[in-house]
Amino acid sequence: MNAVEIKEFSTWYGKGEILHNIDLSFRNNSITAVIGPSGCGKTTLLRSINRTAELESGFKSQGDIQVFDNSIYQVKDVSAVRRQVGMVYQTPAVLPLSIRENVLFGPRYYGEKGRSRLDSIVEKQLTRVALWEEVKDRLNRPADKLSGGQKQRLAMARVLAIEPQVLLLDEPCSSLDPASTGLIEELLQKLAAELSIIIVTHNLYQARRIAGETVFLLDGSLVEKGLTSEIFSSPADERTRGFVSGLYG
Amino acid sequence: MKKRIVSDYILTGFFWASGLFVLLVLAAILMYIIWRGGPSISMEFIFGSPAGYPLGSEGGIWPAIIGTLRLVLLALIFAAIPGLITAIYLSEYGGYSSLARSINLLIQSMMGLPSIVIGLFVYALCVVELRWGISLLAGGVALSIMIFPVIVIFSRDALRAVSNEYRLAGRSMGVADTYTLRRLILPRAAPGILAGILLALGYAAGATAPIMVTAAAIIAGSSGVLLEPVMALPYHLYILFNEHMSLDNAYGTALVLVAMLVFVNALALWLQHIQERTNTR
Ligand SMILES: Nc1ncnc2c1ncn2[C@@H]1O[C@H](COP(=O)(O)OP(=O)(O)O)[C@@H](O)[C@H]1O
Ligand SMILES: [Mg+2]
Repeated sequence: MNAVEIKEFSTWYGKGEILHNIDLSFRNNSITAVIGPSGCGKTTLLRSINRTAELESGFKSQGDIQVFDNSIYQVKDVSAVRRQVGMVYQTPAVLPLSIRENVLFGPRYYGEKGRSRLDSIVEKQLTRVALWEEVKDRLNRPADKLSGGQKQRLAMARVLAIEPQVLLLDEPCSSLDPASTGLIEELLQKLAAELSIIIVTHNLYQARRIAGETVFLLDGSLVEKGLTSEIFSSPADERTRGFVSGLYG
Repeated sequence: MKKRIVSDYILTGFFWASGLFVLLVLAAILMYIIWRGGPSISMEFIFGSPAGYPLGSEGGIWPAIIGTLRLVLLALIFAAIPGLITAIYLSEYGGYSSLARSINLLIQSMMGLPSIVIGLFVYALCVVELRWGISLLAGGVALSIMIFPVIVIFSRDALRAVSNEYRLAGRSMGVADTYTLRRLILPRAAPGILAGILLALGYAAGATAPIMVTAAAIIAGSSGVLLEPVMALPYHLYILFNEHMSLDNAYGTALVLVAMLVFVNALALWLQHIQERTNTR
């Protein structure tokens, strides 16, 4: 089953066309990597899938994106779309609250209450991102004291706490050390059992390690999508071959 | 390269020298006021009422202290909430809209309004037209108009200093902007907003012109009735000087006023420091 279905989708910032006529689908319960040189539109693609790209001035789009068969650009309630499709950014966004309240930021807004209910959400979500054991004794401490890797996992827990069905990650490991990166890759593979994960990465080894399928974008156009093993060993397109062998860097 | 370094040294030296000069002037004023006003300070002076002939040549300044506190409190009540709401609009919702730009321009112009003009306006409108008479209420209104732009500008800038990352984090979770504002943005901006309010408070406490024509009396009890005149420290000071009643008491009054202002401003500076430390990362 496809979690996200993109049909003849194009976007503009002002007059500049950023994405050209993209047709693409992302499977549920799997990890898909999006690769391509800087500035090719990877971030714009991700931000289009949870309707946050339109927060930028001058953004326009055409075409259709369906999330679980629901055309999100037809929906009036943007908030519902953003809740369904969570996004984690490159620089870990830790809120100026305690560790516990970071996790509860979304759930409280969406009406969760009651001490034991909230406690169980905190434990469940922190466990999901393999952070519970590390922080369970200091849940009420400010979150900005955590290490970079811990912060990124906390940001993931915050987003996961509103139970999205699709998780978008925009170069989530690019500011992290190899150990933290390894930890996150491991937990993404576990999370893929529950939701659809789309990860933009600059690290081709990372794409190879964790993604079932890989998408290659160039200058705002889809060049090729396929099984990761095939994209890296025998790509159909000459440009893909060039990129994965390090030519486009 | 070498020339550059020499001119850098000269410039740095110049900045240091001017900073030092300002500090010296400030210190000299403070020392002089302490030296001249110190001897008048006593329990009776602070907690007593004006006495002697002419009135004020003896006795204390308690009604003026209370009067100033009441005026300032009233001005804050009138200006703080509308000021904060305006600041929130400007920083969070207005963006580059023409309404926001007009409000910014208006606030900037209000800032440049001479305080005596505000006083005269409130005199014409409230004291005469609305028949409030010279009163605590009219003085509070005049001072609130004077400090409103100060509160708006400080609060707006404190809100703007909070990282956009939090606003984006809230929005990408589908959370309403008001929720993010209440849980993340306002708490982060709170020290800066409070600092602005304190500075405004000090500004109001020291202002003479707006209350001279709207609220202040040479002598008044400390009744606190809104439609009666009040005594106020800066006005009392002005009268003591101007009518040559008692220079000693004038300096004593000045010392009390300055001590209050220094305290309030120091508190404001400290809060501003906290604001800057928490919002620059
Ligand atoms: N807010 C914006 N306004 C105008 N142009 C933008 C904006 N954001 C990104 N762009 C442009 O869109 C193109 C794609 O950017 P992006 O999606 O961030 O690429 P990537 O993530 O692949 O590096 C770039 O040329 C960039 O300059
Ligand atoms: Mg990017």
